[in-house]
Amino acid sequence: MSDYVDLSKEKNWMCANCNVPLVSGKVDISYLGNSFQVNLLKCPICNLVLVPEDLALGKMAEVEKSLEDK
Amino acid sequence: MTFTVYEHPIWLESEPASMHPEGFKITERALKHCNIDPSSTILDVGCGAGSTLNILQNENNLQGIGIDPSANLLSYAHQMNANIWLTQAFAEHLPLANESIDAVISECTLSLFNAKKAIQECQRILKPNGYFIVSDLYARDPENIDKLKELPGGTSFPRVMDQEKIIRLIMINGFKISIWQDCSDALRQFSLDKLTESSSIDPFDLIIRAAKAKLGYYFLIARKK
Amino acid sequence: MNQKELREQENRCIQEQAPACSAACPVHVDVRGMTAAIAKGNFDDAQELYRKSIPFPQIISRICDQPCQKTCLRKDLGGAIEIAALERACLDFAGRDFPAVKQLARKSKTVAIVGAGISGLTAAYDLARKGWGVVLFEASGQIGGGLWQTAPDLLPRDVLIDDLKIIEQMGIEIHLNSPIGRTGGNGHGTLLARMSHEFSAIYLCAGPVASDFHDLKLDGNGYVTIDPVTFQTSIENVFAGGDILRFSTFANNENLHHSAILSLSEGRRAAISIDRYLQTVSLSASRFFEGQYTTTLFTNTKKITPQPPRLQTDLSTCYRPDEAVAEADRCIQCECMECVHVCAYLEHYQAYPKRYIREIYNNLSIVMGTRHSNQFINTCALCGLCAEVCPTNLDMGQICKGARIEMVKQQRMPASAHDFALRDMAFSNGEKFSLTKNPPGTNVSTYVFFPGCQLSASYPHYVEKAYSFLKESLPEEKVGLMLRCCGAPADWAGQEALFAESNQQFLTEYEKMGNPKLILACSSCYQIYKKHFPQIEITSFWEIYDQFGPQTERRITETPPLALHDPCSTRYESKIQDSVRNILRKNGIEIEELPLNREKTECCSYGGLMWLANKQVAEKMIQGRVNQSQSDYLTYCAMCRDFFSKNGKRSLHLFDLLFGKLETDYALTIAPDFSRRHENRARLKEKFLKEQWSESMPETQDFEKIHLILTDSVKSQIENRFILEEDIQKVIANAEKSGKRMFNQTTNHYLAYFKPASVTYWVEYSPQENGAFEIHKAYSHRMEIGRGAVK
Repeated sequence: MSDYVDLSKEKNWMCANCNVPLVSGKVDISYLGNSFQVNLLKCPICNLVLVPEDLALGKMAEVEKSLEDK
Repeated sequence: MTFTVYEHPIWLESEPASMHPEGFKITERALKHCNIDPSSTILDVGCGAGSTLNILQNENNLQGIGIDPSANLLSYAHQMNANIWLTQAFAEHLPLANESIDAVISECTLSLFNAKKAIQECQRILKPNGYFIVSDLYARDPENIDKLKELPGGTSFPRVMDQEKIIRLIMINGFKISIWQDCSDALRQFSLDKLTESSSIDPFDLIIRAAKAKLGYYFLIARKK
Repeated sequence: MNQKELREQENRCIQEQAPACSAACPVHVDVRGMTAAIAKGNFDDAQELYRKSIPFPQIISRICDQPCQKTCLRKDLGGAIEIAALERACLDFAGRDFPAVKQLARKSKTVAIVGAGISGLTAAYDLARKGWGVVLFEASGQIGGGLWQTAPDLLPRDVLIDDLKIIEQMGIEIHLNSPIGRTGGNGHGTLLARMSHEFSAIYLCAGPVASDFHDLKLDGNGYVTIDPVTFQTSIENVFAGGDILRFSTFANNENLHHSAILSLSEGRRAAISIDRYLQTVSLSASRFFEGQYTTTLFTNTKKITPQPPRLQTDLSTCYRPDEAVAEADRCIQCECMECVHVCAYLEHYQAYPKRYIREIYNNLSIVMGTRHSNQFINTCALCGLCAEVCPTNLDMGQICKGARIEMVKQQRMPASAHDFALRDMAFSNGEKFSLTKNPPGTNVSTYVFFPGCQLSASYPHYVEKAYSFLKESLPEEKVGLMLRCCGAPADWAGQEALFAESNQQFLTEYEKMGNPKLILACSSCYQIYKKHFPQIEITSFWEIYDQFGPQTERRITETPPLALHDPCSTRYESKIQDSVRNILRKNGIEIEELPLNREKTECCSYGGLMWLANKQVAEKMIQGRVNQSQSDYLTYCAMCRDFFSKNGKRSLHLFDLLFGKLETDYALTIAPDFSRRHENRARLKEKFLKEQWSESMPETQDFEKIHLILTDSVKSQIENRFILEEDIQKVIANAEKSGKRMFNQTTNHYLAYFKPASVTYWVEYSPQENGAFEIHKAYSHRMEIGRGAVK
C-alpha cells in the first residue's frame, strides 16, 4: 500500500493508556454505507487510532463531500 | 516476483469469489434467465482462479472452459480443480473455433480487455442464439468518466465505459440485448481493500473518483443474432 | 413541490423567450445573435445565423421591410438597430464561403408547387432540403415572381439571379411557361384531380386564382377555405399560400400587408405542413410561435443610454466593416436577467431560473447520474428578492425550499449541509436557553417578549434592556418572557418534521401562558409566527417602541447619516420598516436609503442558511451589500449586523443607538463567536432567572466545568471549523475519564477524540497545573472509524 497518508510526521505519538508507541496498521473507515481500509497509526494493544489533522481536513473531507453527492 | 493486480496473492487468501462484486449471486441470477442444459459448453472469459467454473461444475452440473491471461492464476485454478479445461489466452484472441460455444460468461473482466475486440471474439465463437452474460463496472455519470481514466492501469477503472457505450458496442457487434440490470448496490458492499492493497491505489482517491463518475455495476444478457 | 409544479414554475421564467425583433420577424431571424457576432467583428458567424433562417439572403437583405425594427427596444433610445444593413454587411464581409445547402437523401414522394414567387420558392427550397422531390410550375418565363417587379437599383438583377440559382442546384424540376389551365387532361376532369393523382402533395401559391380550382371548397364569401394554422385546403393534400391565402377569409384579405418576408414565412409554414403530411404525422401538433408574434421577454432599459446610429441607412446603404461593428454594438442584446442582476447567488451559478429549475427538476427525479445541484439548492437565501423583481414573480426561494424538503424526504440531504445550525437550534430549545415565564408573581401573561435566539446570542444585554422597556412601557399589561428558537433553521433546511416538533413545543408553552400577544424583536421569528401561527396576534418590538418609546424629537448622537439596511425578512413588512424610520427620526438620526431597500432589500447571507451551505457565495453576497454605500450601516437584525461587521463594514444595530452608551463606538464591535453565543444565551437565561424570578439554572454537567485555555488563533481556528468549546470540553472529559488518549513524547501534548453524535472531534491539548487545559488544535471529520478502532 502506498503512502497516501504521511504517517512519519506523527511517529512520536504513543498510546497514553497502554504506554506503547503507535504502529502502522489497517483501519476500517466508513461513511454513508461505503467502507474501506486504510493504513493509519494505532495502538497495537487497545486499537486506539490516530487520524491526523491533515487527513481529516484533506482527503477525508473530500471523500465525505464526494459521497454526499454535493 | 512481481504480480499484476489480480495475480496478487491477497486475492487467493480467502474465498476467491471476492474478486468481483456480488460474488456468484449475479452468475446464478444470470443462469436462471438462460436456458442452458448440461450438454452446453460455457466459456468463462477471464476465469482467474476458476471459482466460477467450480461453481458451474459442482452446483449446476455444467461443464465450463476457462481462459485467462495469467498463468499464475490458471495454475492455481488447476491445483484447485484438475477437472476443468483451462487455457492461457487473452479475450481479444480466443483459441476457439467459430460457433463452438453455447454461453460466454464475463464477470468484471470486459473492461480489463479491449472491449470491442473481446466482444467481437465472443460473438465469433458463440453459436447462433448463444448467451453472452456480462457483469462489470460502468460509469453512471459519463461526464465524469475521465476521473476514472487517471487511476492506475492493471485494473478495470481506466477503461470503464458508460451504459450507452456498452450497449452500443454489444449491439453493433451482432448481439441482441435481452436484459440490462443495475446492480450498483453490490459495489457498495464489495470490499475495495484487496484491490487497493494489490494495486497501490490510494483508497481515498479511488472513493472520490468513483463517487464523481458514479461508478456502478451492471449485469446484462445478450444473445447472438 | 411535485414535478408538474416545477415545470409550471420553469415556464414562468421568460429569459429564454425570443427578443422582440426575432418575434416580430415572420421567420425569426436571430438578430440578437447576429448583432452580437458582428459587434465582435465576426461576420462569418453572423452570416451563418442569418442563413439559418433565410434561403435567399442577398434578396431579403435588400428588400425586407424590417418588421423587426418596429419592435426594437432601441427604437426610443436613439433609433432602432439598422438590421437589414447589418444583414448586408455580414454577407459582404464574411471571410469564408458558405457550403452548399445540405439535403437529406432523396425520398420517393414528390410535391408540386404551383407558382414560383418567393413563397413557392421557399417551400420548394425547404421541401427539397428534407429530401422530397419538388416540381415547380411557373406561368411566366422565369422564376422569382414579384421579385422581378422590384426596382433594379434596389435589387440588382445579377443579385436576384445569383440568389435564385440555388433552386436549380438543389435538383428542383422547373417548368416555365406552364400556366395551370382549367382542365385536367390525361383523362382527368379537373387539373387538381390530375395533379393529386401525379403528386403526393400540392402547394398552390400562384395568385388569386381560386376560381380556377373548382374542386376546392369555398366559404360564404367565395374564398377558398384554408386552415389558418396548416394552410390545408378542403382537399387534404392540397395546401394554399400566396394571394389565395391572402384573399381568404381568415386573413384580413385585400388590405393585408404584402411583403417578401411574409411570403417567405408562408412558404416555410406550408412546407412544414406538407413535410408532416408526407410523413403522415400530425399537421397541427405544437405549431407555436410560427409567423409574427409578440414576445413575453422583458428587458429593463432603464440604464440604457440613448445612442443614435452613426449612419442613417436605407435599403441601399452599404456599411464599411467598422460602421457595421459600431451599429451592431448599439444592440441592447435584450434579455431579462432581472433577478440575476440583484442576487449574488443566482449570478454565481452563471445561468438563470429557467435553467436552474430544470437542473433542480433533474436533481430530484434523477436515479442515475450525479446530482449536481445539491449545493445550489442549499445555497439560496430564500429571501424573496428574485420574486419581487421578476416580471412574473417567480420565486427561486420557494423552489429551493421545496427541493430541500424533497431531498430531506428522500433522505438525500447531505448530513453536513445544515447540521451545525440545527444543533444550534437544538441548543436554543434545550434547557440551557429555553425559558417560558409569566411576569413574577403572576400565572398568566397578556404580552410575551420573544427576543429570539440570535439577538440573545449577540446582544444579551440589549435583550434585558428591551424586556425592562416593555415592562415599563406597558405597566397595565402582564409581559411575560419566552426564550427559545423560532425554528427557522429547521424550516429553511427543509426539515419539516423537526420544524413541526419545534412548533408544537412552542405552542404548548405559549398556550400555558394564556395566549398572550407575541412581541418579536427578530424579523425572521416574525415571519415564522406570521406564516405558521396565523391565530396568534404578533407585533414587532419596533412597532411597540415607536408607539411607547420617547416621542419628542431629540438628537441622541451627532453622527453622519447612517445607511439603513432593512433585513430581508421585513421585505413586505412596511409597518415594521416605517416604525424603524419613525424611531430614527424621533431620535434625530439621519439616514441614507440604500438603492435596494424596503421590498427590494437584500439578504445578508444568514437567510436560508446560505452562510453555512456555501461560504464563498455568502461572502459575495455580503460584499455586494456592504459596498453599496460608504456610510456606516444601521440595521435592526442581529445577524445582518454581525455579518456586515465581520466583513469589515462599520455597522450598528438599532439597539446600539437606543440602549447603548453614547460614548462607545459600537460600529467596530465584532460579534461573539459560536461558543460565546451559546454561553451568552445560557448566561442570559441564568441572569433572568436569578434577577426576575429568583431561581437558579439546572445543574451543569461535568464536562462544562472543564476550563479551557485558547489563544485567539485557536479560537478562530475552531470558529472556522464549526467546533464549539463545549465539543472540546466533551472530548477532554471523555479522554481524561477513560484514559483513552495519545501522548506525544516530543511536544508533551495529548491527543484524543470523541464522537458525541455524528461528528468525531479531535483535540490536541496540554493539562495545566491549575487543572485547566490548554488547547493547541481541534479538528473534526464525519467519516467513521470502524472495526479496527476503539469506539
